[in-house]
Amino acid sequence: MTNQELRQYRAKLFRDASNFVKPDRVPHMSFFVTWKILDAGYKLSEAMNDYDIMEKVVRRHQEEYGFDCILEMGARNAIRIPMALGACSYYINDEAGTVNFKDKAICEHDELTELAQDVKKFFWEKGMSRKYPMWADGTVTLTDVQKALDERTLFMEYMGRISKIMSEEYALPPYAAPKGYGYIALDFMFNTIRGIRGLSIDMRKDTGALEAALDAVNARYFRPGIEMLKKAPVGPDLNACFDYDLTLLCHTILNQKQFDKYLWPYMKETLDVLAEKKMTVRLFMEGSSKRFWDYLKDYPKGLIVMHPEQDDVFEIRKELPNVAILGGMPVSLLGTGTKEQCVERAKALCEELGKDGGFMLTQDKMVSFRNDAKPENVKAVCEYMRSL
Amino acid sequence: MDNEKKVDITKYPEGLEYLAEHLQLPVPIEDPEARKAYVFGLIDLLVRQ
Repeated sequence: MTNQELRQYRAKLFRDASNFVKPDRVPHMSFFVTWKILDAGYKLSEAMNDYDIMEKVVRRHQEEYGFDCILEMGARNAIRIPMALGACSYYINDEAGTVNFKDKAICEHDELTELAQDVKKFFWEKGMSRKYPMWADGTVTLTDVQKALDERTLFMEYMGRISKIMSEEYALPPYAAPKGYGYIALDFMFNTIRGIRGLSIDMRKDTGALEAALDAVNARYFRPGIEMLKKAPVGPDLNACFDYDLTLLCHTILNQKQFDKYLWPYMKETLDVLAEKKMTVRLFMEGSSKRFWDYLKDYPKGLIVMHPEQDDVFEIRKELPNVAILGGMPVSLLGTGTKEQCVERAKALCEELGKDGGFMLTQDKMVSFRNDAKPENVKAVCEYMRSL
Repeated sequence: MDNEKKVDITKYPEGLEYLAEHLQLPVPIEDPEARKAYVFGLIDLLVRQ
């Protein structure tokens, strides 16, 4: 096979599995993030600050293990851009091999109305001030902002370069086709604007202010993306594994009523448009999504590929026979089990969930820390999956 | 570059207008709205990081 043929073959494995067509073999995706830096023998701070090193890390990851697609190619921790303004929400501990994110809100509860009145002004004046001390004390200069802008350009150049390399030299299809992307306001609130604690308070106190802010943030960050998606041509992009990505975190703190009110309308609109377009979405809901499975039962096969973090994949197949599954390999097993146990798990998953399509293997969590996986276990699973 | 500073760039919208006019951007100077959108794209990213 030429590289082009191999890339198309791999993309088809994912497309067939997503559509419950028996694929030639069950495809295997890498969900390894910072682990691959440590596995390549680099410090986190070295690779995250040097795109040439990050390129070596990603190349080695594929050369060593041989996946059918790599979901993360060094884009997750773009620390050089914020560091141009002297601050970053990530804490890197090279000794421990960890990266942690500080849950810091940029908006207080009593500022929600101000946020609702003018999102751009709020982000510019208060959001930036709370993230960057030099913005807060007014010492930021044109040169500082130019540096941040230049860093963004370097980052985009890296992403273009590594995508091309992995596509052309390693025959890996892109994980998702570039499409309009709607960022649901509640998740934005949870991740960045109010934080976990703040949003929990907002949903119990003066919900009118929260709703006004959500409307304003959705108007700016959800609506344009969904409108762009509506204008996309019908049909999947068969060069990519999936058409769209919907990653959600905020559902973990929602009760049913809050889910119905704040999150589901936007999820539903997105899923409905994707169904109309005959596209496929990878739905990654962190933690457990089991409480909300009923909402997904009526969608057609081929639309949703669920990537569960904590939920049992066999239970998902039983409860949601219309939903394809991406996942099944516990990081806990890769980190503490034996090669034989890991291969047995992969074998059981492929035989029980993948025999008629509808299943793709990947890790249940972003593989981040050194002890999340033993390299020999990863290699054994990859060899087994390629042998199918 | 900083000698040209005339406004407080941390204020909106004057900071945005100033940066859109003075930063070196891959957007033609004849298209101020596109330049502002480009600069705000950076702010969006910085706020999330």
